[in-house]
Amino acid sequence: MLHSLISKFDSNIETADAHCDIPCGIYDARIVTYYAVSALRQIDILLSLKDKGLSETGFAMQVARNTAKKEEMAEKCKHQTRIIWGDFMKPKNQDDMAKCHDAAHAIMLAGSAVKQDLHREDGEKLVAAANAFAEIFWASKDVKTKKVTTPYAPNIEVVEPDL
Amino acid sequence: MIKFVKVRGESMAPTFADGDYLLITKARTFRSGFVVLVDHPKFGVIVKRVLSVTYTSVCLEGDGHHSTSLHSMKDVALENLKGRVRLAITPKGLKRL
Repeated sequence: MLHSLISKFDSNIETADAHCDIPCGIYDARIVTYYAVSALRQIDILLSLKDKGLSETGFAMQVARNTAKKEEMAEKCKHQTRIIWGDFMKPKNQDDMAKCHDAAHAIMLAGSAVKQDLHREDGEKLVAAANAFAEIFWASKDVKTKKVTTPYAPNIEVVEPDL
Repeated sequence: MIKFVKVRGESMAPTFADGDYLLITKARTFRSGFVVLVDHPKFGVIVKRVLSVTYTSVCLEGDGHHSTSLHSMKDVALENLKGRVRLAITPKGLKRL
């Protein structure tokens, strides 16, 4: 209650950063694909709800819960992309720069589409864009990548560093 | 002096989460373990835990496992410490430090 009361004065309250990415220098594109896959999973769950025989109230609650989570996962995917793209990425040449820009922009568009509606294709596009971004990221670190299928639903192919 | 700040980021997790509000008070002395508000010359206003103290400076670290010590980035002068965190106001309630 006190938290929500203080939040009404948000614009007058100074912000103190507790950013991991500023002091620690740890950047890893796996977090982008993680959130992309999670968003796709939420889409799958939402699409399967109507076959579960839930009560009207139960259905509404599940839709609300999974929709909120879907949008949160898509936004986190975009957020982590912005951090890596803005703070870490230093492409070696102009071609890399263009590819990096395109991949990050594709995540922004697909992430927004996932938030706005409920189409599995949008989730698949988000994962594909995250994979493309991950490939560029690991290439910039001279780390080879491999494609693996997640050992959990939605069992989709993701790009991982071949460490 | 008392002031409120809002946490942005996760490097102090699980002590604080993004969006928590912190009550800050002035402190005359700082000890290892204190959570402090810092006006860092390079990173701006940040919140971290004091790892160690010398006569003129402190070494800071985040509580989150993603965060690492700032020691390698030079110690922070005592004059840059703006206060001690006394209370965290979270959506789940109050947390005293």
